[in-house]
Amino acid sequence: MKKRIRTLLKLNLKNRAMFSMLTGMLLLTISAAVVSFLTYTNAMKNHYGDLAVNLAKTVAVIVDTDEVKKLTDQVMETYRSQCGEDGSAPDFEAFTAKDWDAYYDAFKPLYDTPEYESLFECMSKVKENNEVLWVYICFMDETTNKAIYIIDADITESACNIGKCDEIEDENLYMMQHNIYDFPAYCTNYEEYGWLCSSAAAIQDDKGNVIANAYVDISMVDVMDTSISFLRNLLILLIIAAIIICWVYSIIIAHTIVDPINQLAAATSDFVSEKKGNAKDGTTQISQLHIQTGDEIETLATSIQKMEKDINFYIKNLTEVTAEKERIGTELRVAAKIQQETMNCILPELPKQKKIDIEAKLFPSKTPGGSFYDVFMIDEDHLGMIVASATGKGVPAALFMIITKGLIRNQLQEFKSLDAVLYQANNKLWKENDSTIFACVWIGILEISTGRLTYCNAGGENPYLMTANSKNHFLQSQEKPLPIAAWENTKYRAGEVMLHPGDVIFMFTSAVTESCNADKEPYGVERLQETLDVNCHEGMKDLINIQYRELKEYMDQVEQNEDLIMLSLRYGETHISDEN
Amino acid sequence: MAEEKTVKAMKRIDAANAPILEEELKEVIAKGAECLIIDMEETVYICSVGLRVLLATQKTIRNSGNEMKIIHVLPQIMENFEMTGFSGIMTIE
Repeated sequence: MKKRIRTLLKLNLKNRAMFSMLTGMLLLTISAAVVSFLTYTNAMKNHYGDLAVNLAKTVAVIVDTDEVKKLTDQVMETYRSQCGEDGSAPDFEAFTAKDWDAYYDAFKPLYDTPEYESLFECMSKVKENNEVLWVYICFMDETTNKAIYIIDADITESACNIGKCDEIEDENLYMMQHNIYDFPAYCTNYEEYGWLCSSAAAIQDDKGNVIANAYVDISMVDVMDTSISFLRNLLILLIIAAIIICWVYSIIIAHTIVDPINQLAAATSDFVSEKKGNAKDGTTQISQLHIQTGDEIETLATSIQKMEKDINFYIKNLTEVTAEKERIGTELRVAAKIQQETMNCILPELPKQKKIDIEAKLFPSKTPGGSFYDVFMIDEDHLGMIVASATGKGVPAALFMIITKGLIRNQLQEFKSLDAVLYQANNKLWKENDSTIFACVWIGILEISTGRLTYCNAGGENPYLMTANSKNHFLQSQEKPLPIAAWENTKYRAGEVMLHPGDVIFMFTSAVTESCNADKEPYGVERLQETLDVNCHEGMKDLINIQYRELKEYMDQVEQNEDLIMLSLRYGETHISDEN
Repeated sequence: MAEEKTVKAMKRIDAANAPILEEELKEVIAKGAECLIIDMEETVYICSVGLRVLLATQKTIRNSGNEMKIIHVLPQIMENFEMTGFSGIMTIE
């Protein structure tokens, strides 16, 4: 239940405002009612108190003093006759009904006296005209401390008989001892008489002697009834006012706060779905919001509209950037494909007269770089070979590689000398190469009919020659073969070697010998040499595979991060003569 | 007296940290060093990418009319420089 109320209050701004408003109103109403009631009651008490005092004084003045004196004397005489021998009051507490009857019977003749009738008539008028409860005269008997009723202007059953005795109030007794017989208003609440406000005034003879006291009693019950009805009316009025104020207030809140907020919420919650539905700018719910409350909510609406514009702008930008990225990505994929196709060189068909076993392979790393090889027939008798690796990775290296490959291959086909081919290729690439990529290139041309191999090295690895007479060695080249595109006008020197039947030449890129194991120890030339020496009698395909396997074993778990190229050729096998 | 700036090269200049060296060198060049000195006292390995960085630096320095020197080169690195022909175009002391 508590939770439900809480969710209700939490969910509904209008209800929350109503609730706080009602609470405030309730507190206000209660305090207003309490203050009003107290003030009113106090004023009423004072008013009736004054009324009682004034009336008592009036009665004391208007009654005939002689008549009062006469009646009082008679009553007191009868009273004293019933007092004890020592002058004390009769023992009323021990009275039986019979005793009471006897006591009051003694006073009965007094009702018929002319004094009584005259006084009764006079006092009744006062009582009727002023709507007080009781008007009566008492004698304050100091000897017995009793107030003895002389006359009571009442015709109802509750009227007090002549001779009835009441105890004198302590405060009045005190005043009497100081010769004050005018008692200001005081309240009593006896079971016998009810809640009263009483006042008394002294009736004096010509000489100023006090004969008796004129009393006026006003019922406080009546007064309080008036007060309570006042309070009831006040409360009803305040509650109605509170309900009306709350109702008006809730309408105002709904109109100026809740409705605009709901509009904002509805507009913003549909924002994404509208965007997905390709809503045009200016047609969305947010842009069509029309909130003019002139307060913070209008500011909020304005900032939301601005935010929408900003988001639209951002989305537009993002879309453009994404499209651009997509385009570049596609281009990169195409470039990578071209690169791969370029790498997968298909070995040419070789002339039949000399049996040549040739195998070339590129072992790519995860991110392909600029390594490549090329094997092709320049004419019927000349086989061209290129083994190269460009520095760097990715598209720049791949593009550089494609250019280099095309350049060298074209020039080789023009039958220029190899050193001239590299010299020209170097200068051309150096000039156009802003990103300072360079390539280590080894090129060679084999004259198939004679076995003459001319070659030129630009920064590449020297091939390993395994001869039939087992004098295996690396082909030497010039001392300092700079890679191509490294420095302009670099001069290269071509070399030449005669291959004999059964000779094997193994070409590779530096990545083969530079591949490291977990201890960062490179594979090295010696290990390569050793593997090749042992396996040089295998077929070229097997030789390359064995070499690669050995290298992988050496590297163990280390990832290969450079492309590896191996190219191996066996010139005219020994058993060729058998065929002849 | 040319203003000299020295950059110490790392232990292994491989494909992974060659760009770091390149950045360092570029920064020094940008500050306007008349004579750039690369101290290779600690360097025991240099890959082709590392060589490319040295070459690119050499190219930039030469174009702006300043000079570059490589000092304290260990024998195995020297061998590498000679093998690749770099010793011919760079000032190595």
